[in-house]
Amino acid sequence: MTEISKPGNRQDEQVYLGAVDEFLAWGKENSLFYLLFATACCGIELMQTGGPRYDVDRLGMIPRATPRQADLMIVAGTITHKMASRVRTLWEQMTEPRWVVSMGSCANSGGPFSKWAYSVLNGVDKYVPVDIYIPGCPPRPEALIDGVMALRERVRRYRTLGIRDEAPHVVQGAACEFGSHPKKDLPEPKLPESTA
Amino acid sequence: MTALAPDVLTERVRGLAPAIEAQVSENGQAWLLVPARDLVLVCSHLRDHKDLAFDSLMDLTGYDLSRYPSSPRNDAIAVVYLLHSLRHRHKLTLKVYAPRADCVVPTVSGVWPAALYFEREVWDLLGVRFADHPSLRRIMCPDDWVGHPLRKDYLYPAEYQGVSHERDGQRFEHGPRRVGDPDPAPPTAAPKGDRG
Repeated sequence: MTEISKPGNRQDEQVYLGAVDEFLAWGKENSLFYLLFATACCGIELMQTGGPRYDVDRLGMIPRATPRQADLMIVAGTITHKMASRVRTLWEQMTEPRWVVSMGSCANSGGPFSKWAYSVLNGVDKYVPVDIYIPGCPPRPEALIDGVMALRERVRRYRTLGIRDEAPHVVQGAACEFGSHPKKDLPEPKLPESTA
Repeated sequence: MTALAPDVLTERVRGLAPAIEAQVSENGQAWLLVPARDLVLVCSHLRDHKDLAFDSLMDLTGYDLSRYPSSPRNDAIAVVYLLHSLRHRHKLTLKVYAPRADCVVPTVSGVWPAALYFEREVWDLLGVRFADHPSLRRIMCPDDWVGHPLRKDYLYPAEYQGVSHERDGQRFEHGPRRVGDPDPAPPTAAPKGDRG
């Protein structure tokens, strides 16, 4: 965006020129409201990140208690097979554009549970499309903020109005209603992939 | 309030029903082996007798005796009742052996309502059916889960709702047996800690 001072007008009056898409992306990038979704010890680090010492509010990130107001889901913790369909439901309730950060080894790949636990999902990306993976067990707040900064790069490139590739994102699991599992009849979920 | 010593307690409960084995364990705790058909009778007496007054069911759990091949009852699942008397401050352990082939134990939820959830848990994880339980459903695993995970011959599922347990085709060496795996070689030695 270019800042133009208009000569002759009041000194504090300023005009910005730029593409609408860039402006919208700028707004999204600086107001990533995240869904409070913590299932294990990663959630403690997530709370720390939101607390006064790391203060993720300064990046415009404010926790939301409902997926309908959230742009970003930070999957912080172990996801069991029983929980996975609920994660998917929450993700579907978020308004587009939406992003997912997988925080910690459990959400990335099952972590310490991947071998001997019968009940743990080996990676949340089998149910929802993940944008950023953050390694660690659990990751420190610095690592989470680093992941968020990487995500902001991605959000900055997101085009709301412009043409974007609708690359299908392969997800193994899909929507499940409580008590019934009609996922095999549903089409493959698609992620609005950003263009560089 | 008169707390009964473990040896006095075993003497008091020995005559409640035929075929009851009452013992004091190595660490000085009284325990009682009850045949399944007498369980509700014995439990009602333990709760209602004024000198015994076991008014609290602290825990109800179980274990698989096939972990102990040298045990005479290695074909059984043990159900364990941990009782506590808030009035007299003494404790008692009850055990019932349910053969795997016909794994049924009468419910004690009529005696202690706390047993309602405990018995659902034992049913879920060990596959012990509690006769006359008003609502014997799974409590931890999803409703459509196959098998009872804490049984020692439990086969891990290869997938759940079409979502594979494997990640990128990775298989762990010496990992759990999954559905579809070949039969394992028979164990060469009894496991350590075999005490029946």
